[in-house]
Amino acid sequence: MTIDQAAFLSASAMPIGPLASMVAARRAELITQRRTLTVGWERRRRNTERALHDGLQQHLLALRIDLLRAANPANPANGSALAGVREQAITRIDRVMEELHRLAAGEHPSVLDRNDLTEAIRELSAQAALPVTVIARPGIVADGATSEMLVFVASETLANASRYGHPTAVVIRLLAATSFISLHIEDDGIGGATIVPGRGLAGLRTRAEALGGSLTIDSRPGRTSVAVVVPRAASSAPLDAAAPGPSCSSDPVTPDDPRTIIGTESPSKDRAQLVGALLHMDIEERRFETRASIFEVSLRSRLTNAPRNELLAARSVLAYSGDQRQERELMVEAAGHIEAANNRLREIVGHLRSPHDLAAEHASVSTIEGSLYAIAAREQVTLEMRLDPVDDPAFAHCVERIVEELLLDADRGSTVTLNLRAGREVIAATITTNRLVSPMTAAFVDELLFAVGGHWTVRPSTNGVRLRVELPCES
Amino acid sequence: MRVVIADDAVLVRRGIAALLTDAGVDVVGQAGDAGELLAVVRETIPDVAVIDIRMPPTHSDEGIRAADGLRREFPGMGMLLLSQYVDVDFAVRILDQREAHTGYLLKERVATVAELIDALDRVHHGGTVVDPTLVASLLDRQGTPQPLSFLTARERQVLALLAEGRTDRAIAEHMNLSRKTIEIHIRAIFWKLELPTTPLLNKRVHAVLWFLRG
Repeated sequence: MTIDQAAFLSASAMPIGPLASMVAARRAELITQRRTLTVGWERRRRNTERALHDGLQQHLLALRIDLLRAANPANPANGSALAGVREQAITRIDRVMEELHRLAAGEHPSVLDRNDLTEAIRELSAQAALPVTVIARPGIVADGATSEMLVFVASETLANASRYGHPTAVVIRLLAATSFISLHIEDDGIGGATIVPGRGLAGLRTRAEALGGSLTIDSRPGRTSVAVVVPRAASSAPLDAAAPGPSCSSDPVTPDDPRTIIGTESPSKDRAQLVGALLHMDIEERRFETRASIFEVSLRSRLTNAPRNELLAARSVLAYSGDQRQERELMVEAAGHIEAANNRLREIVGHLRSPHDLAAEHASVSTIEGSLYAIAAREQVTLEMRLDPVDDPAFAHCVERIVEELLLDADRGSTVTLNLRAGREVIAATITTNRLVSPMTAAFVDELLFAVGGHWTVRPSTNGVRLRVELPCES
Repeated sequence: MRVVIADDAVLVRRGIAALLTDAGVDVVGQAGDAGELLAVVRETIPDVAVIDIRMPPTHSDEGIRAADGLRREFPGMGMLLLSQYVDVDFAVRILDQREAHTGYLLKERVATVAELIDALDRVHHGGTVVDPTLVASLLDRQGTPQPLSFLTARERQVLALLAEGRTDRAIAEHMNLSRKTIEIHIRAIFWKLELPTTPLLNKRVHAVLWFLRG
């Protein structure tokens, strides 16, 4: 609703009764939107935290241990064994990077936001690089853990099929009966699929079994089928209880108190106040959506960017071939980069564990300062900042994140400056850095500013580039 | 020294086992969860168990609970708990109940085999081990207890090493000072912080941690 529409409503002779019910309907809509966004984000946060903590971080630690062990002169491994360790380490780093990209893409949680299994499976099939037919009645719903597991099975199976089976057709049947839900995926590929311990499907079978169900594979030339059956009893568990997370990392979902949305407990009979409430709810809705997308965009860029440089450094050190003495030194150096990459992941987990309340006002100028100086110190970059107080926390957060990315890209010993000015019509941040803006960072900045309705320009400056990030103020 | 390792991350577990074996430590068993750990400990009766805090099924505090059970059954066994993150509450929970033979170490640290073996030795011989990062974060925390500001820089350094569970002698070696000087520092610290003095190392560590936790 625009200001004009609001004025029209206010001035029009719309009776109080319908106006009041409009307010009530709008409020209910807003509450639902809030819950959907909050639950979706909470799940995304929990899944990512878990995947990093119990998966990738352990993986990197193990890799570091193996490298340091191989590099130990007391270890009697000969040259060819060392080369083997090195090659394997490169493969392991590649796998970690792939996994980070998959996590960043976050297909699963966003697909699962609505808990509508039919829709989720259809979306997944549409994205697959294979001709997939989905046979399912619309609107099949299951609890979080069940939907998640089923969608993961479908996604894993489709990925395997396109990678190894090369089928010409895939058929997915989703069936919801009173007592069970079943998912059946069949393709006409070359067959030979098995459940390998420790690989994707083995884990999913464990999850199916934990829900009281089963996962079976039957694979022969020309016909591979994967079948999952889960009892409905397990599917009736409440949403939050369905996905147990570590107690320390899952904050309670903010209660939906209508008062926080419209400002008063019961809508007043006054027309102006009712219209005011409608307007206020519009602004709230936009803010809420903005914050949700900022969180998502930030998380995605952190996952792809923060550990990237260190992993690439480790990779290139390992790919360098030298004599045996050097070989050991190279491994120690690579292990150092792996440790740094793992520290970046730890920071991301830290971010994910700190409260991400979609309803709360977020970054302020003082929090920007603290966190950016810390990053600059770590990256050995000089940071000079002049900050006006800004009363748009979403924009402040965007600026903070942009500078964070630039700090990660900047050369050691270089200087990054940030000038944040709050004008009457526009809030503008001018940032200078000695490095060109990488395409990845540029894409991130685009996406972030799109979420808040800002824009940016970049031009060469005396010793690098100057970015200008602007957000028009709303009167 | 005979050691058992419990961690559900197989690669990490094997890595630690290999590191320790290279260093001449006898790894007598491995476990992937609390149940397996109990079985392996009963079978092998090790000197020290290295236990990851987060293990299946809930990946929250299984390791700590397993340690509680083991402590009742095997009071003299050393236990070194590994944590991916600095968590003061976990550390206090681990060290509160136990007088000795217990350690809390960040998981990343195990890659440095010398530190790992030093920690194993200390818990094996009845000492307490607290990760230096945890101590540092307690000392740097906003709103640390007021009396800390009465300490000199050197006393703060001694306090940190005390909190990590170091003996007087280890502190003296670490700081390149005589034991006599260290003892004087320690007395001054306890006096300034108004803590009860005790010659028992583990009681001292507890007192300091309690104080730092506020």
